[in-house]
Amino acid sequence: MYRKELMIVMAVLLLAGCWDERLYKNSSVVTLVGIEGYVGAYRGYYAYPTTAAQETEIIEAEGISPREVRTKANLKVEQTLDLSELSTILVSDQTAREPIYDLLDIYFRNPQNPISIKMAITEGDVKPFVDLTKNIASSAGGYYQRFIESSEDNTYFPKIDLQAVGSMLFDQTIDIALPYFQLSEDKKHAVASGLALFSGPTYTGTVLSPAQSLMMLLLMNQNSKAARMSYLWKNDGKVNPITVDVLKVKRKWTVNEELRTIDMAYTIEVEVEEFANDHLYKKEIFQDVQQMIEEKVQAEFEDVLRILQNQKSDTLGIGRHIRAYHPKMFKGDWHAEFASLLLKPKVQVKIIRTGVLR
Amino acid sequence: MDRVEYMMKSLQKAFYHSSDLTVRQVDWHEGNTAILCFYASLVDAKEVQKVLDTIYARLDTAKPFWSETLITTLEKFSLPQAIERVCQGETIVILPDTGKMLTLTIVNEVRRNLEEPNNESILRGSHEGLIERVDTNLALIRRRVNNPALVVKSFTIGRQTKTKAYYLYMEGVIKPETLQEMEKRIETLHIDYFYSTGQLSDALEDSVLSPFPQLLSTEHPDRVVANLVEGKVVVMTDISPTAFIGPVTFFSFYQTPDDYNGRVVVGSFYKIVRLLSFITAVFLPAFYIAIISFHFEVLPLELSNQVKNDINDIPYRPLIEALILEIIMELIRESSIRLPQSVGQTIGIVGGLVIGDAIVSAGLVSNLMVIVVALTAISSYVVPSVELNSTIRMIRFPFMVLASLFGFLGIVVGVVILLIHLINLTSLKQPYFSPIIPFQPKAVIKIFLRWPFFKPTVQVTSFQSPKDEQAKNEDTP
Amino acid sequence: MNVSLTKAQFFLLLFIFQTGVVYIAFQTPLIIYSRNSSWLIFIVASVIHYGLLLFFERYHSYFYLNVFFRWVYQIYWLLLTAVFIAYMSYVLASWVLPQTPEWIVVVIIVALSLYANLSRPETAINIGVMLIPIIFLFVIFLMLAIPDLTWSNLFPIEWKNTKQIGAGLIHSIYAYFGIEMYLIYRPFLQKDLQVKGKPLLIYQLVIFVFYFISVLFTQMFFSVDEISLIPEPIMYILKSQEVTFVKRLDIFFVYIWLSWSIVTIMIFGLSFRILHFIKQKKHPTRSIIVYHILLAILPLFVIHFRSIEFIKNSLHYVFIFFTFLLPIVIIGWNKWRGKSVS
Repeated sequence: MYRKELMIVMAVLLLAGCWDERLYKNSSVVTLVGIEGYVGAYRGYYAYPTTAAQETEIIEAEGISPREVRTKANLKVEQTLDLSELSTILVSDQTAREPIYDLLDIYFRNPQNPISIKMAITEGDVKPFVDLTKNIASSAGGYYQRFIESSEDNTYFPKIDLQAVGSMLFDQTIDIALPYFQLSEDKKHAVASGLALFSGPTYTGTVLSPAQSLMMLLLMNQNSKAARMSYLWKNDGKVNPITVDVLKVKRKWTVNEELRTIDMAYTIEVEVEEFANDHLYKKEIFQDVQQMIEEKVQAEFEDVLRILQNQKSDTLGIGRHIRAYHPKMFKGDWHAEFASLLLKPKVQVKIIRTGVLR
Repeated sequence: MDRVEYMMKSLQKAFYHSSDLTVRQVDWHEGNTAILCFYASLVDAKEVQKVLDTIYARLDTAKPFWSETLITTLEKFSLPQAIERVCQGETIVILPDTGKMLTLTIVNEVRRNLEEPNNESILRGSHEGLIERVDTNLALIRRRVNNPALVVKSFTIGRQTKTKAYYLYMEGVIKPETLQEMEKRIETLHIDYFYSTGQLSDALEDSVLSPFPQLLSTEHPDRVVANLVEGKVVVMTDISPTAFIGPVTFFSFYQTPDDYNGRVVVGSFYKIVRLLSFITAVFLPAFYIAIISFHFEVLPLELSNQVKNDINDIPYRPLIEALILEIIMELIRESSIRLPQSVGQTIGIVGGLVIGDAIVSAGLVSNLMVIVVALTAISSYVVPSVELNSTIRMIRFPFMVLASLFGFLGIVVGVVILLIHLINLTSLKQPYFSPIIPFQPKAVIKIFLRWPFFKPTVQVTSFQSPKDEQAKNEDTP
Repeated sequence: MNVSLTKAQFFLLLFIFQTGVVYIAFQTPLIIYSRNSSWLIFIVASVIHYGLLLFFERYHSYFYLNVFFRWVYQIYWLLLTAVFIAYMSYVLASWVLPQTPEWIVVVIIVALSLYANLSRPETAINIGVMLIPIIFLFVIFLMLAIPDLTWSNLFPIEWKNTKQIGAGLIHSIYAYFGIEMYLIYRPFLQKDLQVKGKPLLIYQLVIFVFYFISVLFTQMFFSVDEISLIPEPIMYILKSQEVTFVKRLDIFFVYIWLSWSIVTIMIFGLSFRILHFIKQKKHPTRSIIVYHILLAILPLFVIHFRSIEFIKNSLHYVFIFFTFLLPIVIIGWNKWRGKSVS
């Protein structure tokens, strides 16, 4: 008796089932998306690998919103564009001047889109950056993802993904800094050229150079696997290059609520990686080198902080610190407040290792 | 017609004039005649002759117990009794003038050697196996338990075939309710012609339609003994080397004597590997189908490119693809069992290498599917028990269908149904999925680890939790 | 009904249905109303919950339900279960199965619960055991998010705004609803077992740590303004994590959560059986089937965004009434009358 009913139910299911089936072989797996334009007239680029020729195919479309661009792009593909394997989003710097969440809403809202992906700003149009992936054997998005991840390991880019970007966009007390790409002179490569600073939801137009980016990340206490700084050391008319790798950063922010100053004390422990002059065991050379690096870093820190304050871009998260521990000092419009603070960095550099040579 | 001849006629008639029946008139003591009657196929005639000679010699001395020896006895003659005796392989000598008959229990020993059971080979430990003779089997077991507490009770199965069968238990260890349940089921056996052990297990099991075996069958006497001391009943028949053990739990099918003969750590490791193999054997194809037809976003980018290249030109839906391979797999298995061993290997090579390679190059199935199905097959053969192993290979098909209907949701539904079924299942009215039901945290750990000392675990008899003192200081989950 | 529970089973039962459906979602209303200090408010709520547990343990013998209150609780559970099923179906539809008709999912959930409840009561009691390892997985994979946490989100603590504290406390009840089941199942505990003291404290600590991790993670992972947009924060945290072999953890965990919630539904069904069959009834299977048919029909009316939102915004009042007030009133009244469960 039960079995007959069970059979009927099974038959109905077998006949009508598979509503949500998305066969993998019928989907075009987009790995790289490029967006440019402005509200009402967006232009998008979708790069996906064609399985037959092992090549990257690029689809271009226009539309009034990022989602409509994708809908239009679907008209040009024989399979369905599927963004669930997306790994990088590229945004043109002009487009980023507008509030950037408008572009990202579709990625947060749709459950199929991953949010553990990378995002970068390009200089000028996105098209050449997407096009140059055509000749890359592996997936287009994977190229930029690896690019950004290796720069993260060298402490040029902060370790953030799309989710972190979204979280910071909703947080008034911290600003984002996104990887910035330029084209190489022969137009065949992308070049990581620093960090694009944001103030609130919009791009400020200012880009930190890679060296400045590294300083900013040290200020954020986010040194990664390698953070190398090279300087020239002058002594007795001789010029010797020296390269050090940052091992550890300790920071302590002391906030003076009345004077509205923040004393930012940093202790940076480094290892010498290049120093042809050698003889670091001699006290005077050691002291002199350490002193020289300290001064240089101090100067660069001040430089970076000045740029950040000028652009009202609190990428360090000073606002978070103030709101959490000094709520009285925190004001609603944090960006104006941040620009008017007095930030006093104080750097102490310690050489704690010299490689295997003395 | 005299009386002797009449009796011979009626004997012949009672045995339907079977050709292997010998009914002969012989001279007996003091000029009387007697009738010798036996099945030539069952009786060792030379031995019978020797014993009869001894008896003749005794007859003349007129001793009162001339007929009684270890293998002969004198009893009152009755036809049904005589038929039964002859059928059991005994020789009877009917003495018509006294109305008695002499029976000689000299059975022609048709038995094979004690060999290691093929389907349950082990690495270390006893390599003896049970055979098709119950007395030998009992000897093998008695030799391991030198204790009168090992009780053997006999019964017959089959109202027509009257096959001898025994059930064994350890007095003092076994719970009375277990024994009662088994005795009740044995009493209510209704089989006319008994020829295969499947009939017995069907009649003794709680739910015959469940895919899971509820009686453990083994041909290893040491496994039988290990289960006897855990308080279980063992049923053996005279026609098969298989011993049925009940009540059992799901996890006892995953134990092998090797676990306990080897080292503690090694034993525990392989126990865990074996239990994990259940998961791969049942869920791997379903999981793969669910991923490539519903949830391919879970794959990382690099892997995803490989998968996409591999499956892009496959003409069939993933379910069909999987079914093709699984059925080929089962075909290879069946054919290699039926063929003689020398050819079996060839079939393995043809099936595995030739078909496997060709079917991929022909573009019918993808490389990944071959890997998945091969892995599944290997994991399903890890289970030490033949019955459970076939069950596992069968229950993955519904999971595959469910996965192709609803993706992971289908798998979840299947798992919940499977779990409820296992929890509901009983073996001799006792919980099959113990120690999950009733939940005993400490016993659960013992499933995965082989404990250093070998203290028999006690069969859980009730669905309600036992009131033991250990439970008192149990931590919360 | 003839059931007896060990301590492990009893607390497992409580744990599974208290955490069941709400674990992925209760953080959102809590953090919306109590903002940066929600973790502290949650600690206070947990202490209150522990106090209530102690109170229930002390006076559980006075929790005698007459016919009227039995029906009240049966109807309350029926409606609550229906709402939970609707929510489960809604979450599944929005996260993984957008095309599958909702009624299919509802029917599947209800059918599984029906199968479990047509079996012995022990089935529903013990099936939660299988969830323990996967719940551990849940927490372990949440730990992957530790590098992305912002510790300064835990401050500043605002402890002056009583309205905010009150709202936070009220919304914490989503975590601790259903504790009235303690009184329902307490009589079935084996007679000679002691629950007072250490076992109860351990239970409270386990469930507190389990919830507290999720509250802390949610608060530190999202900024306070962002959280109001995210109804299932735990799923979202898992979605943003990537491990080498799996890109999207959330897909797995939606289903793990689903099986966990299905067990919760089964336990609600069991509670219904316990109250309904205190007295022997003529057609035991018929009532269970009717209960499940109702369960399959009721949710279909509320599976859309507006009603789910409405229920989410008002359910805590219902919880407060049935979980806290009504049991206390019943215990107080019976104590005054001197009537207790024999």
